[in-house]
Amino acid sequence: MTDQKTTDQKYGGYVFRGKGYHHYRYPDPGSYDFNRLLRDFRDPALRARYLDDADAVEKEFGLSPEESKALRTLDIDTCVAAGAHPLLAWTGCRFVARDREAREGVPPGTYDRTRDYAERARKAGSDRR
Amino acid sequence: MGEVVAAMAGVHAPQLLQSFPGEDETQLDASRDALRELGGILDETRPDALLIIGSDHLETFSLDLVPTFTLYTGPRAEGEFGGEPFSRPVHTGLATALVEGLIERGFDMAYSQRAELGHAFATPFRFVLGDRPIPVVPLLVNVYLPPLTTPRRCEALGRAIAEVIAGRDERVAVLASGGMSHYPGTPKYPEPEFGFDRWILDRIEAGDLDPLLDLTPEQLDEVGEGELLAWFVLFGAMGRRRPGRVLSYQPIWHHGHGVVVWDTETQAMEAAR
Repeated sequence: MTDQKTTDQKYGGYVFRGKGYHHYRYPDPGSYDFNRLLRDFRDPALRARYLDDADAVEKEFGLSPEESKALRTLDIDTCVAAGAHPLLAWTGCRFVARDREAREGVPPGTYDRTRDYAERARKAGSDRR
Repeated sequence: MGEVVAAMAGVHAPQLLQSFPGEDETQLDASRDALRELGGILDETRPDALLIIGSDHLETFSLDLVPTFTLYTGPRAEGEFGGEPFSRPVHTGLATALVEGLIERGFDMAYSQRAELGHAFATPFRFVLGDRPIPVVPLLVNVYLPPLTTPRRCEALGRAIAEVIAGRDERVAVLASGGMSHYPGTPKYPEPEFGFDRWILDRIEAGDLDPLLDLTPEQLDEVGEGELLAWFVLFGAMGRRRPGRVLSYQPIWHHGHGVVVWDTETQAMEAAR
């Protein structure tokens, strides 16, 4: 085994906060349409239509103004705060962002913000191996 | 008489399948090598089928329907990841017998005859199964859409799976696909709980699984370990075995990668010769 360190502390020293689900919660049914669109972004044709005319696709899926505004940031945390399930925000935002980068001929990472996580990890020194 | 001939668990991270910027390929290669080592166990045990217990990342299901446990009974286990399609034959006889036998035993299983599978299956297909023509049985567990089932319920399902297998003729390898600590799509993505991973692996190496099975689904969510529900099904299915052997643990900056195998006494003695 590589990089393995043993620990005698229960839970490896982790102290549970113990207040229900923290990261992946039961999605509010009111966010269903937003989550449906994020999942359907697996379809490249839908992504292309969204990049052509975001208003039309947002209307087609019945997004609220708050959801539409969040989605246009293509920022995962912003979408989650607006009701998106984290996994659907993760995939949907990245797929759209990468298509937009390719369409505009701009460098990877211009709209796909997932690289920010690595930068945050480096800045926080959270490479805690 | 049928039996579970191999018990294995391993990471299925998408970074193993595709190149992502900013990743440490040395660490990823260590995980890939360990998964290939599990493939060597398939060569040793020569199973008639490989039961893969995997988590759905909302690739197969959506908020339209959220089943807790689903057996895939269609003729091919298919999907696409990163633009690469995959397709493997399903052991439909065993898959159907599991649906029937588990429902008889009080587990109200969902089943699907057509579903798109995700990277929880694509990864073991590539690195564990490789070119081996072993038919598979995919079992999906809901781990990302609460309320989640409990570790104890998963273990009980695993025990019932072993009973069904014992009543048939096939020799079955069981692989739990998933884990360990990670939080995709959340602000905690860059901060996995590596210490918790190590505590889990210590328990596994000590053969002390009850503390893991006593965790609640809310606790699993808090430490990014929800995908271990698949491992807990394996714990029930594998029966009496030696403590787990950790083949690899890689604390990648956003994801603890673990690969573990559980030997029978006979396998351990043969390996020691």
